[in-house]
Amino acid sequence: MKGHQASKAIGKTIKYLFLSLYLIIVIFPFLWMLLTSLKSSQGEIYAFPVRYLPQAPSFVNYSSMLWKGNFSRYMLNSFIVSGIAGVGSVFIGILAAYVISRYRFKGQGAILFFFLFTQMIPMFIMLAPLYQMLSKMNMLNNIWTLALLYVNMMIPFSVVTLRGFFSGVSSTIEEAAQIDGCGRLRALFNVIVPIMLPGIAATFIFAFINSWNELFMAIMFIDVDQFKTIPVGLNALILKYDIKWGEMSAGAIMALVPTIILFSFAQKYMVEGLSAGAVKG
Amino acid sequence: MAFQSYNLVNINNIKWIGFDNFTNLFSGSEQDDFKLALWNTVKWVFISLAFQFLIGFALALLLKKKFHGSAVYQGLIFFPWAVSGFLIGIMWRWMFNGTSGVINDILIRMGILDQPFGFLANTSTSLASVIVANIWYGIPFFTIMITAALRGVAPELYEAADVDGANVFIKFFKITVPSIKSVLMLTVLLRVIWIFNFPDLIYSMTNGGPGGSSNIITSLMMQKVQSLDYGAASAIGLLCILFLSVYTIIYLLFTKFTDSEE
Amino acid sequence: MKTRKVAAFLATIMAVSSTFVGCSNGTNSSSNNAQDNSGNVTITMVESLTSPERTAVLREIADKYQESHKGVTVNIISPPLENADTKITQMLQAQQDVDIVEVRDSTLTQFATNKWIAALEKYVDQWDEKDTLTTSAKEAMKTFQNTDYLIPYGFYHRAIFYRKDWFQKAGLEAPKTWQDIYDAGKKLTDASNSKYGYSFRGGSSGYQYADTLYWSYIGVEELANPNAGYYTKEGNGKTIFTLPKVKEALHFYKSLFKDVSPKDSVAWGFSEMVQGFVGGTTAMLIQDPEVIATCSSSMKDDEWDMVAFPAGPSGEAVSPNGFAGWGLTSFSKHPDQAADFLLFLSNSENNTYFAKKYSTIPIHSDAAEKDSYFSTGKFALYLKTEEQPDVYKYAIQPQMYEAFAQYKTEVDKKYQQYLNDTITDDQLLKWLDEFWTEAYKAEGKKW
Repeated sequence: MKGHQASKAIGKTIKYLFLSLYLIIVIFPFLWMLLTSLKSSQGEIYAFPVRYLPQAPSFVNYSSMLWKGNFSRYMLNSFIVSGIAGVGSVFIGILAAYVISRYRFKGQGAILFFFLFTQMIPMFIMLAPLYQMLSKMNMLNNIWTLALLYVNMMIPFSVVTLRGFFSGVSSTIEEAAQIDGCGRLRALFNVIVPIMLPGIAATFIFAFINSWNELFMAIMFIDVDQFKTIPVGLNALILKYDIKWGEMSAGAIMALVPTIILFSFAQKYMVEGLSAGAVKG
Repeated sequence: MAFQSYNLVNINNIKWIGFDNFTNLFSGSEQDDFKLALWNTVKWVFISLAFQFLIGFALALLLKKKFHGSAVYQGLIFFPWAVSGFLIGIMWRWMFNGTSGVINDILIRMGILDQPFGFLANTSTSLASVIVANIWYGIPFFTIMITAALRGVAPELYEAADVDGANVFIKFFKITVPSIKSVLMLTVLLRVIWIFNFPDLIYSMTNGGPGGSSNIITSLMMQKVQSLDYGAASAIGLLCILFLSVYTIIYLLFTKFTDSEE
Repeated sequence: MKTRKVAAFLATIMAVSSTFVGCSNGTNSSSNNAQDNSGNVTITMVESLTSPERTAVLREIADKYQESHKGVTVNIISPPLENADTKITQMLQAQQDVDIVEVRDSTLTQFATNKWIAALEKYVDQWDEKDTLTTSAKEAMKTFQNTDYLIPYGFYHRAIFYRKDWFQKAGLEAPKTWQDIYDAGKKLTDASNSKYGYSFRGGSSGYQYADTLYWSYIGVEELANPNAGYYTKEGNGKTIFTLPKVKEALHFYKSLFKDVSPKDSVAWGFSEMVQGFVGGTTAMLIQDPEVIATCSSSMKDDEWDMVAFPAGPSGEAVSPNGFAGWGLTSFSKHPDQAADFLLFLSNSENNTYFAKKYSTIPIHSDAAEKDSYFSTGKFALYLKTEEQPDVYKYAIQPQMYEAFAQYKTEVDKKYQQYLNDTITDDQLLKWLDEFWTEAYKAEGKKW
């Protein structure tokens, strides 16, 4: 019995050792960005052997990003496009996933495979034709176009994920609601959606974060400064002669803050939501 | 476009050339680059996947039982997933920097290296370096998915097994794995497609270099786009879709097959 | 029943998407119109070699123009540098509302071949400031098919930047030749302290440095034409890559990398090599005058200095005649107004101001009179080199070939393979020779 307990204790130690080690590995790059962003001079940033803590922590990189650049504007734009992308793709996803999971119709498998197929097309190759097309439609340089493209980009994932949730919610609840006199759509939005809220939150966050991070479409389809998003702003810090590591780190940290806040609020839902059936296929 | 000589260097010269873009890749002037990229793609996908999967799985198992602060811990280790591929690439490029990078510094302080080493600048380490970054990036995805799946396994199954006196390994292979098998299958399937189509990291860390040593076929395609050779880029793009479709079909057939065996 | 639901569902999606499209059209028409009812004109200008500081200078000049030309608005579009040329290509192909575009020596052939940019003769001929243009400027304008497709804003003539303090401490003289760079570099290299002699460029466009070495070894007279620097005067498309001296130069190039440069530098591009120098990793750097601004702002005055481009065994110091400028799009809706602004931007006063701020070599010969900045201090060295035309020469890769676009994307990879010992010197030279022999066969003599 004692031996058993000893081995259990060893097992626990190994477990926590592994967990802490991994935590360090995960956190370190972020910490390093944070430390770099607080260093004020190039000499300090490039010092080798590396000086880990900044001599005198300075927010000069942050203030130059916020005031010299247009970063706060980019931040707002990113919020707008990612918000629309999240809401839009979840909304369409709910409707589409509902139809797919509640009705049996011909070509259902084909639709799912089609969604999978869209994941296979390298997005980069679509940029040029899309540019020419949007140009003809006079839709370039437009924050709504970007939002629409992001909605479009996130629909397949939303549908596939939300379909799993619908399969998890028994249709008897819905039928009961219908008997009580709800129409199909009302039953869907008043009864099922509230039950599925964790799943919907998870899908929304996924769509939001992916749109928040998207770079290439944003570069291609937006020219004017007032519509640029954060990733574009960060990409522009790679200059001909140097990467402004200090400002880049500061910008990266600022870009991370909203996603991380969102994450902390929602990570409970993420796991909960996903375990409710997102991945049941 | 894949069947055209479609190069924006001279738009007056765009014409149909049949399979020339493809033969160029397999036997023509591009074959060395293409074959290297193809082989790198296999390594990139499978090494990344294997480590992401194993570490992700291990973490999920350790996180299954809630402990003090496990919610916070979980929140922290999911962070990488919230960052864009471009930014991850930039972060790791900075850390791998061959003259003043922090990874060099740590290795020197630990006595493993005696002078800074250009990880991204060496043909033998560039691919490995981008794979390390990719593994770091991809683990949270597996952890989230598998944790979610594990929480869905009915606890009664384990209780029953405890009554039967089953040990940890039997429980793991007889209960855990079968219960979450479909999740694992789907996650792996999706993940392979995503890793394959994820040149962002390579683009911002090495842009395929040096000497093409860290190119995978999707990053090779990006370079073709940058040199405005849309014909060649489309040919590669079409091949990517073909590879992935074949992979998906085989994978689906295979998993269906094992499913029906049970 | 089922089909009706599906139809309803599809209709919903359509409705939702069309609302988005509706929104977008609404905002678009107000922001994108080049000319509104009151007769105001908007000139849109796209830059490629973007930096925040440079954009600010351009903005300043544009504001000045707007001040004196009421009703004209100048818009400056600044895509992130990394993807700028890919994006500009898309914009031009789609014939977006762009009037003025930055044309680089490397994109000139593409833009002009595709007829995206217009000939400027009719504006330049009537320009009252055309007579003060320097010879280099006039030559640059006529690079492609002897037609003015751009007005350069400056030249990127390279020079050696070196650490004055390190050289003094080691008792070394400022380098004059490539051999000096190697010898001094060897003394200053101390790998264990992360100190190296030379900021090698093995990453993007690194081949340009190998090319300048080839030219400095063989001398410009051996070339068919300085603007087609890969062909020898023997003619018939014979390339320089079969010459024994070129092989010698290639070996020297590799020894620079192996012996006096950081291992990492095989992947270094512009930014890393400059950063290596400014950040105190390397002792020498060969770069454009643009870097003067960077050095002045991040280093102390007694830490660095500049000397002219190094000479090779031929006694000549051959550097690339890099330039960039502004072109007028062929589909501009207001070509006359746009050209007027283009000339304003390029006049002696504004170009000199721009050149000073951005540290390029100005295009007007009276720049040094206008601003002593160009006759004293670091820039003076460029005036001195112009007084010795038999030593300081310029040559450039055959950029007028369409094959150059493909070459540019593949050549760095080949050099990196050579530097990393994956391929031999003969394999590399054979590849280069075959590539350009092939290009000559396909496109003929283009200089």
